[in-house]
Amino acid sequence: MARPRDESLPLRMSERTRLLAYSIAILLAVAMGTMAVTAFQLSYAPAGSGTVLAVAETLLLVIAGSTALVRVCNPFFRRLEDKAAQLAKVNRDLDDFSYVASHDLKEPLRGISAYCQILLEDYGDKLDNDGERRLRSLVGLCQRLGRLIDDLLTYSQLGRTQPAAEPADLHEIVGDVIETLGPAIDDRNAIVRIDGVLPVLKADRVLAGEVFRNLIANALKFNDSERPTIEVGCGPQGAIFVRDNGIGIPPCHHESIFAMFRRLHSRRKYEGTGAGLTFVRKIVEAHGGRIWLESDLGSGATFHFTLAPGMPSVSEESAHSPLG
Amino acid sequence: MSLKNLPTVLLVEDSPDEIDFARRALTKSGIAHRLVVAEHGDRAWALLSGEECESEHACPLRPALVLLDLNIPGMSGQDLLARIKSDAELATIPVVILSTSRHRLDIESCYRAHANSYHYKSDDLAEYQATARQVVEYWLAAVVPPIATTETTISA
Repeated sequence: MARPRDESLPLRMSERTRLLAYSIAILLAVAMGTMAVTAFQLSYAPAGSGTVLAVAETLLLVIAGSTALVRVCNPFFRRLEDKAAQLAKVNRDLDDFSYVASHDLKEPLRGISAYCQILLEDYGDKLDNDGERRLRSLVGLCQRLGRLIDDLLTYSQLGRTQPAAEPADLHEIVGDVIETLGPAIDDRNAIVRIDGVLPVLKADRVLAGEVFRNLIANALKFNDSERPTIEVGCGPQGAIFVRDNGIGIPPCHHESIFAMFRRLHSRRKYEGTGAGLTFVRKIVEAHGGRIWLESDLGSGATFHFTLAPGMPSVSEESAHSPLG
Repeated sequence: MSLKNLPTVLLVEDSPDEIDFARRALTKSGIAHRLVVAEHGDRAWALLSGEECESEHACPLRPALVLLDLNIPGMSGQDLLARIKSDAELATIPVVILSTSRHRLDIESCYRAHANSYHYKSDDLAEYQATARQVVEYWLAAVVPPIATTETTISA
């Protein structure tokens, strides 16, 4: 596949690494230089000799020290950058591979499924009950495999494109998500509400919608209460939260729930492929944000996330005009 | 009505299985038509531009509808779409995309290239048949077709 890939993410990472490394080196050099000059003055400089000389010596030493250090450390930084670039490339290759592989897997699977259904439709009268039941199971298995492949495709696609940085009105986005989930919400006799006003952020609107859709759908699904209640809001630090009164997640699973196709319950009890939270985390991290949760078994769950490195600023938050 | 006077559907599709499914779905739609299959983009273009002729078809071929799969060998579905839609004579022929891709970039780029509509090829056979029926009912029966494709109907 020859789709252009976004190279800016790994570049940004290596720039940050380099900046950090250089600042540490310069700080170290300054500290060493100062120490050396102090030591020199204490042992050799006669009292009352020219201050200019001392300052010049200090400066000279600091400059020489930092130059030497940067030179010594440079190969190390370069290796670090190379490693980071290699890692980014391997990740992209992996995403490319799973994209192509899943695309190619889909076609024959579609054929198998369609022929099974043609057999059921056109030759149904020639099959006995057992034959028909097994053929239906085959169709069901094809559907499940199809969903897994679709999820792999989505996941690899997320790694191949850089999210758009457009003004995303989270309030409006969540409103839309609640509307599309309307039937499922009514079905569960649930309440989904937005607590206060959500900010406008620079983010990919479609992907941000996917984050909310997955989190709210999960909150509805993993909920045994009579009246599932879900609250979406923005915390005092600017992180967004989705809170539910569902079955909760024991702390030992707080990390593993984000793994691909990871499921904590049987398919019969809660259907799904177990890819939703993996998508959510990948989207959040592609924006430079992070996601975490507070939850325990039986006490509901609160997912917190940010969609940018650092927190949304006050000006961004106040830029939001509430819906009419 | 003789076979010649039926509206022609040009299916651009390389997979024999997919051709089988499409043929079955179109037959089940109950809308009378004549199906011409091009296994790759270059062949479809040759038939449309008149470089190649098939004795039983009008030459050059002027289908009432093109059903186009994006993933075909040779000239890609996207390229063929762009060529049809930028050709003064062929541009009015309805081109309908049938694709297994639900990716927003694929969908958007097809509409940008003036595809008449984009349909997801469902894995569910009943859904797929319903889509095929809707498409041919709409383009072969419901709409007033563009002049370029009514030749056969007028002479009927």
